[in-house]
Amino acid sequence: MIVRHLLATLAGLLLLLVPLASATPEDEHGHGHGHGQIEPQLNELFGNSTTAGRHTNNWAVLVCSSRYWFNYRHMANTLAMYRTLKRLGLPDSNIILMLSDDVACNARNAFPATVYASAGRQMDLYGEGIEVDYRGYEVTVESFLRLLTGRHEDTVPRSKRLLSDASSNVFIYMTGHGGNEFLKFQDNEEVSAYDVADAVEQMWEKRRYNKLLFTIDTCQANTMYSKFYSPEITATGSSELGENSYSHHSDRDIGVAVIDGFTHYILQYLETLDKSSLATLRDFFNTYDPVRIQSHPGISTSLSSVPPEGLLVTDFFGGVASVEVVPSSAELPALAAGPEASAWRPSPRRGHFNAISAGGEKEDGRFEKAARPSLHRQQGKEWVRPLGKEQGVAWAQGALTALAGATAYVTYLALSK
Amino acid sequence: MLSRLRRRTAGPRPDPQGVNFTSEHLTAAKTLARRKQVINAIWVRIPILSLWSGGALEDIADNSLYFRFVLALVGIIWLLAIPYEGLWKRTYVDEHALQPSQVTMYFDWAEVHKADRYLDTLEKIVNGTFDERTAFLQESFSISGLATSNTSTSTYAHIRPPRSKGTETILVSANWVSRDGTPNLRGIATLLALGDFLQGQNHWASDLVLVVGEGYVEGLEGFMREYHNLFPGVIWTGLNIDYPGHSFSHLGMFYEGVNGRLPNQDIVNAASNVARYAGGVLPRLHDVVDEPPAGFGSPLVQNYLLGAKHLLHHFAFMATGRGSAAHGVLARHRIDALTLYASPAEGPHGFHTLGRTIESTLRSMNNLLERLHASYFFYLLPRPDQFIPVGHYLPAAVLLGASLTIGGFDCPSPLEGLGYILPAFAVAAVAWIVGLHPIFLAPVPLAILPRPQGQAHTSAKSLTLLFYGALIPTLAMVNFPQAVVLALISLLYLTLPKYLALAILAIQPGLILALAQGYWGLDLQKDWLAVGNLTWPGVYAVWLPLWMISVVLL
Repeated sequence: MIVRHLLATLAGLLLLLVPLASATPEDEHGHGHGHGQIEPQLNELFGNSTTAGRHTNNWAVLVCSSRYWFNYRHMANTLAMYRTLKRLGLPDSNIILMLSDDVACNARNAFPATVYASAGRQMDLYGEGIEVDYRGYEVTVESFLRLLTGRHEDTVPRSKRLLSDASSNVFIYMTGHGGNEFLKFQDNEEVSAYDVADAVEQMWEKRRYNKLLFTIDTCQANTMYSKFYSPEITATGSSELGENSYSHHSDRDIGVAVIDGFTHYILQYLETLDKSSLATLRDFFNTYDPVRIQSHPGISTSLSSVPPEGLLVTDFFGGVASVEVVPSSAELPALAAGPEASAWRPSPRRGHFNAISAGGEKEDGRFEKAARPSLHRQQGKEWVRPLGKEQGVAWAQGALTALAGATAYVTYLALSK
Repeated sequence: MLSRLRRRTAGPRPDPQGVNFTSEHLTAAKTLARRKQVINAIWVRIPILSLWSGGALEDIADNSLYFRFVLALVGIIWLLAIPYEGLWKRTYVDEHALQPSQVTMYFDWAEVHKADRYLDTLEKIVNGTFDERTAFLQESFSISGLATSNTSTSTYAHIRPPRSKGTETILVSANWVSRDGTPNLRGIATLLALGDFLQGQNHWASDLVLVVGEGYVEGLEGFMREYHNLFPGVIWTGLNIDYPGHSFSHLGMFYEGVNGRLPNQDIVNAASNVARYAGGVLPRLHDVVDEPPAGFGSPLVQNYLLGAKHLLHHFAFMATGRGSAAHGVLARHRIDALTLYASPAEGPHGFHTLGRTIESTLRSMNNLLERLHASYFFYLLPRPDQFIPVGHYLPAAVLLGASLTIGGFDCPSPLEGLGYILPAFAVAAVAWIVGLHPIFLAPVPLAILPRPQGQAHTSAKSLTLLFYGALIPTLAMVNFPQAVVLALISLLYLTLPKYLALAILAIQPGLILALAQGYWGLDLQKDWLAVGNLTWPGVYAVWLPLWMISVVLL
């Protein structure tokens, strides 16, 4: 057994070393324009650095952690935030909505199957196209932490997972009843500021976000982001240590408060923006007015490498459709050699990367529309590859790699039988 | 006994280096040493107290008597301090779910008109038979679309809102007789109008049961005894309507239940809040006018007297264990209930105000997701919007109880003493079984019971002091006014000089009860039979034995 495993490991090592070894001499000659990228690409793969312009998509996690009819406003807060995100273009697939109670169908609701966030009830937030991902007793501290860290049971559907990556800006919004460094879930358990900070650190380590905006509306909310220690986090909360966050107003026919002050004024501001807005988070934070909110909202930007004036509001609120264009010369040699010869397959990622898999181009429409024309353009312009010796070397490398891989695999199969 | 405790030595201190002692031993030793220090500290101070209380009591040999005297004095001063504002706090609604006065009220002039029409008929049948009255009530409820029926002494209707699960119920009642003794016709008319009004509204999460009881409490008590054969839902909260006059100026909150059981304070606070801010009528506690008495200069004194007035009304209901109004019978069924008493006046309020106040209060009750539990169950209300938490008044009864208990520490022969005490309890038990009125027990202590002498006398007296000293603080937890009355009786019977005590003991308990019945119509026996007021058995189990023992011990 041990001998077999040793051999298999050796074969694997050989497989890795061949392309690297063959690449080295060329770098020394100084004209391998593509292969000089290996270092940054390795960094990109295994490092944790953030590079400008890497942001390609947005995700949002909206959590209402409290139940009961008299906490109607927390459901309304969350649903109003949900509506705003969708209005700014974030698709439902990128929003994880956690609602711990269903006030819409509560017997005390005089307007069944509706939720309103303002007196007068102009806009039903529970009307059509509401996708609640976690509802009722599914909203627990455990499910919230699993969601952030991506540690799910195999059976959890993709729609309930935060499928963000290192190119995602993630917006987390929480509301409920809280206190110094904790937020109550379901009137039953609590998530502490340390738990959230550690979960976010795991997100960072697992490259699940590019930038993160954490927003929380609860009593003593600012304590909830005080324990963060991971990079690229901007955080804001509704009230200081020792302060309560108050509801904004009630609807007298519904009979309970319908929205909280902090959330109300945030939404009032966001309502003035559209998808193309160039407003920055600085502009957003400048709208805070402790007198109207009746508490002192907090802002934490020290962990972020970019100050709030460098971040657009729409970097978090709304849909982003930027495409990461990779020059073919920036690809790893094995890849550049062509899909047929490649023994290495990139792991499936969201976006156009999905399309780059051996022989599978035509299965994905996006590849044909976006990626292929760009390849043509590249070949036609500055990234045209000279034919000749270098390409021959590349082919040889590819063939050698494939051969080594095949040998190793056959050896392994033979030994393991 | 205190001296015996003091003389007991704790033994040598354990050696911390020794192998036989663990850290727990050391901690225990420290605790024992600290206790000994405390006892010594008390012991050392007793002579100081006796010096301070002067020469008037110097002929009494037992040092502990001085200490007892001081305790009783402090207890009585504390008791007298309770109406002082410094011990009060402002009330607040603690249960978030209640959300009082936050809803639009739909009870309006159309409903007032209906109530007026119901009233027309009620005035015609008020002197009719039960069958005539229940027939009209059931017909009215039926026309409103409610399921309705009757028990032998009450008529009831069941509102089943479309989205109620039927597991919880709110009870609303009005009885034919008001607490004034006059017919409560407007209360019943309000209830009938409510039945018509609430039927078909979609925002109720609880069922509602409307009850019209015969008499003052008899009908409602009868209904409650049969409730579980009739309905599946559990009643959490109740509201009783008492509207005897033509119009009213204030809404009186009657909250004391039978046997001194108080509803959760949240219900009083919520109903007061609704009356004030939603109904637009000032709430009162009972029917006490909330205005400081004129002519006492300082506001401090005025507020003290006003607080005392409110508390005396409260004490009168609590000490006798009677419910302050018809809702009192619901307390025995663990229902947090309240009577809204429309205080008769020339105006300005009527059906409109009352209906809206009730509607808004019911909406608050409807919001409840569990039984009321957040606020206080033990409290005193010295004025509307003010309360005294249990920690601010309970020490008075504890101090009075302690002053008795300390007197019982010197008990040379407990068994011998018991021999003189138990016969008194036995006689009272026999009288209870036979159904003898307490007044007929007057000759018993002189004729039958043995009189202890010497050491037996000391022991019997100590045991009595110990027993009643323990009973008073215990009772104070559940019914503070009753405990205070018992403490004062015990102090008068057991601690006064001989001839003074004799004069007081001459007023036999039975005589007091008979006089109370004659002057104020306080019939405890009837209360016991009708609504289960435990004060009547309490007279036999606690007061009569105490009286007999005190006479024997003279």
